[in-house]
Amino acid sequence: MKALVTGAGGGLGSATAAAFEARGWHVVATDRVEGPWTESAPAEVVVGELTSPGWATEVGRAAPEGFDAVVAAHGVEGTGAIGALTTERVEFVMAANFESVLAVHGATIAGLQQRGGAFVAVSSQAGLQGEPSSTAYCASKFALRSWMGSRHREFSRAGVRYRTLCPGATVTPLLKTAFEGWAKAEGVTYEEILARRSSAVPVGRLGRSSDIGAAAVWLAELDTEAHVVAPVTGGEVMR
Amino acid sequence: MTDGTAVRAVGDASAPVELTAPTGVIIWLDACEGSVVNLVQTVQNCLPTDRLTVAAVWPERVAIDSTAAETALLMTQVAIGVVQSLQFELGGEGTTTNVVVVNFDQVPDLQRTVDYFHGPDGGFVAGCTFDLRPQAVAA
Repeated sequence: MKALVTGAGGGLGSATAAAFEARGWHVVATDRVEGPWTESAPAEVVVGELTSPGWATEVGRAAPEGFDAVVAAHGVEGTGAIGALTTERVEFVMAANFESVLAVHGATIAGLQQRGGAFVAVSSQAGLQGEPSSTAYCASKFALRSWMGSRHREFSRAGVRYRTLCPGATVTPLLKTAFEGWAKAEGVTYEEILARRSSAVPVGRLGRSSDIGAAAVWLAELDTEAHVVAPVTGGEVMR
Repeated sequence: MTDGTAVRAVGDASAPVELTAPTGVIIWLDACEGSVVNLVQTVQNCLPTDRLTVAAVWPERVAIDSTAAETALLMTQVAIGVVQSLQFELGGEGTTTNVVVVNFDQVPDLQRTVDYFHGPDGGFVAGCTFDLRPQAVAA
């Protein structure tokens, strides 16, 4: 079984690649730069921009017969108060968190159809429920979840299984950057944001990247053709 | 804590013998036959536990406009209400609870789900409902 994991140099992507490898999958990891890897170095690496033709070609070479699972685990933080958002900022967040996933899907859908594979998109709990000072981020993650539903309607009959993973606040370098941005937008300290978010989680802690990696494997290995939307939020968002 | 392989049935249908939980408890809720009182009593009898999954199990073939479907939908909603309430009440004590909606013949997918939810990295999924029936449509 062969899986492609994007954003594999980041916190969630790296943990996802490690979780697939622990289950015996062959992982092709991809990111804009090669390492340093948060978890152990992956078996096979493709470096490049997800929207470039060169990247699609390289990914095609890595799996000529297609992937059994593709996990779009890349993304950028997108905090910013509405009054301070520039057009460039909104376009950047939408391109990174949404439009690039369309490119990944386009580059891998033929192989997924051949193999009856799973396409797992990492959205966010911000794709299920709005968050303050995160207008652009919420827009990108809501768009992604909705788009996954439409792909499900179009391609599930062709054997592709669609899953949308919606992590809550998970301890990664990206989260620290997001909390710092959020604190700046609200005029409070990073520590105040951290304490507020942690106390809001009913299970009493923030997520770990291993929670999300294991969730991605679970979703990819489910047989059902249903579009499964999975909040992994510690109960902060129940659905 | 309860033993590691507890599966409790609510309603007329017995749980499949092959269904197991690494830890915690699975409640096999026959969505067409189970009652609210029996569900609540079964949950009470399972506590304390660290992981609890209510499997709301639908018949294989149920017409969308049938009484059986109405009953199954009702019991599924009841299970969601019970689980979310329980999550708010016991989450701080380390209990995580979820609902998985499946057809009778989806035991392998239910087992995979329980293996994750009740495994070492599954405790951050809490108070949620996962409809794994093939005809389910997510928003």
